[in-house]
Amino acid sequence: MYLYLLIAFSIAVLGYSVWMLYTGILSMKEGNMESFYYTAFISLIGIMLAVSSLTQIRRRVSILPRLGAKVLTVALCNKCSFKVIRNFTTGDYVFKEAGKCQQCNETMYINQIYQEEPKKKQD
Amino acid sequence: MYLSFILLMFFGQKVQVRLMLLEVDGVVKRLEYMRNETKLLSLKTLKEVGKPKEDPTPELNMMLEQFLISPEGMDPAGLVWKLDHILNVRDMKFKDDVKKIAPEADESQVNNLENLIEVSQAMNTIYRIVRHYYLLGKRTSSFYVILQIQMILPLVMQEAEALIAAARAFSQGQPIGDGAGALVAARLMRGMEKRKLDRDIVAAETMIEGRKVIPLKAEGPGGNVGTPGDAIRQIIDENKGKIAMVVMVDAALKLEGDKTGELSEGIGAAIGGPGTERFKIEEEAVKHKIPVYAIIVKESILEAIAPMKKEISEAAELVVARIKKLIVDRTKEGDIVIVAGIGNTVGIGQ
Repeated sequence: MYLYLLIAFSIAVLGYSVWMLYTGILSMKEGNMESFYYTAFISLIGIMLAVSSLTQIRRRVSILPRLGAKVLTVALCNKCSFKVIRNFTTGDYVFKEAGKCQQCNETMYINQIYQEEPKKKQD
Repeated sequence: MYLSFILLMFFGQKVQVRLMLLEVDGVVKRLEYMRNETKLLSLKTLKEVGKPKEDPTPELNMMLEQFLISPEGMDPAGLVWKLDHILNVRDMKFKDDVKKIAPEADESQVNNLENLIEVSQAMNTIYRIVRHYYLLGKRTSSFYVILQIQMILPLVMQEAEALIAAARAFSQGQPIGDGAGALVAARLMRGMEKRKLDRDIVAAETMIEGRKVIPLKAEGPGGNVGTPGDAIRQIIDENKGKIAMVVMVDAALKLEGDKTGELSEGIGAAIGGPGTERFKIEEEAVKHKIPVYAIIVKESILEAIAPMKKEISEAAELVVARIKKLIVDRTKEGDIVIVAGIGNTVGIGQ
C-alpha cells in the first residue's frame, strides 16, 4: 500500500512540477522573468526528484523475478563425455550417481549444478 | 511565492522526515513479508523432511530468537579459545534442537535444516533491527535517527534478498556460490579414498607432479562448513610439521565492476567466520614455518548465498589448474601440500 502511495505521490509531484513549468513559461511570455526563473528552478528540481523516485521503485520491483531463477543439473559420462542437462530435483548433489550413459552404458555422475541466467530481452 | 519559500524553510524538514518515514515503513513491511516467507519455508521443509509428531512452530520461534554472547575482551589472552568453546557449545545445541524437531531427517537433511533455520534467524534479526530504528524515529520524530536507517536501506535490502535466495537453496539442497572452495577440493579428491577428520571434515590423498597433495573439505552433501582449522592442525601433526605449503581456496566478495568467477591469488588464511579457525591455521603455520597461499573466486554477496552460478561452477576447473601451477612452481618432488576447500558444502558430495 505504501509503495502505491509513494508512486501516487511521485506522479503528483511530477504533474505539479510540469504545471509549474508551464505557468513559468506563461509568465515569461508576459515579461515576468523573475517569476519564470523561480518556477523553472523549482519545477526542474521537482521533475528530477519525481523521475528519480519512480526509477528507483521500478528497479526494486524488477529484482524480484530474478530470485526465482531455474536451477539446472548437468550429468556427465566420464568415459565418452556424453552430457545430460535437466532441471534440478531435490536430492541431486555434485558427484552423485545419475544413472547409465545412453551411449556407452557407463555410470554417469552429476558434474555441475548451477542457476540458469534469465534470458536477456532482445532489442 | 514568498509564502511557499517560508513554508519550505520552516516545515521542509518535517516534510522530509515524513517522506523518509514513509520509505522506511514500506521497507519494514517488505522485510516483514520476507521474514514470514523464510519462516514458512523453514516450517514447510521441517514438516516434509523431519516429519515431527507435534507442531514444531513454538520450538522454531524459540530458535529464531536464539542469541550468542561473545566472551569478554578486556583480557584478550585466551579470547580465541573462549570464543571457540562458546561456538562449539552453540553448534552442538543447535544441531540437537534441529534433530529434536526433525526426528526423521538424516544427517545431510539435518545440516540443510540447520542452515535454513540460520537464514530465517538472520532475516528475523534484520527485520527486528530495521523495525526498531523505524519505530524509534517515528516516536522521536528525529531526523538523524531516521537518516541512519534510511542511508543503509539499499544495502539492507540487498542482504535480505540474498537471504531469500539462500533459504530456497538450503530448503532444496542446491549448491550455493560460497561452495566454490568445497567444489574445488571435491574435484581434487574425486575417485580417491576418503577419510573423516575431526568435526565434519573429509580428506583424501592424491599425487600431483610427484608431490603428495591432501585435499580437504567439509563433509557433504548436507550444508556444512566444518572446522578446517582443526583438520589442518591434525594433518600437520600427523606429518610432524613437514608440510611444504597450505593452499586455501574460498569465495570472496567482489567489488562493483569485477567479473563473477574471476580468480585472484594471495597470501594468508582465506577463511571467513568469527576468526577462530583462521587463528588456529595461522598458529600452526607460524609454529612450523609453513607458507599459506590463498586462491579466491570473486562473487557478490547475493551470488555467495544464492544457488551457484555457472561462472562460479566453471571457475572451479580453473582453480584446479591454478593450484597445480602453484604446487609445481613453489614446491619440489616429494613435498606434502594441503589444499583446503573452504565453504558451505551444501549440494556438493565428495
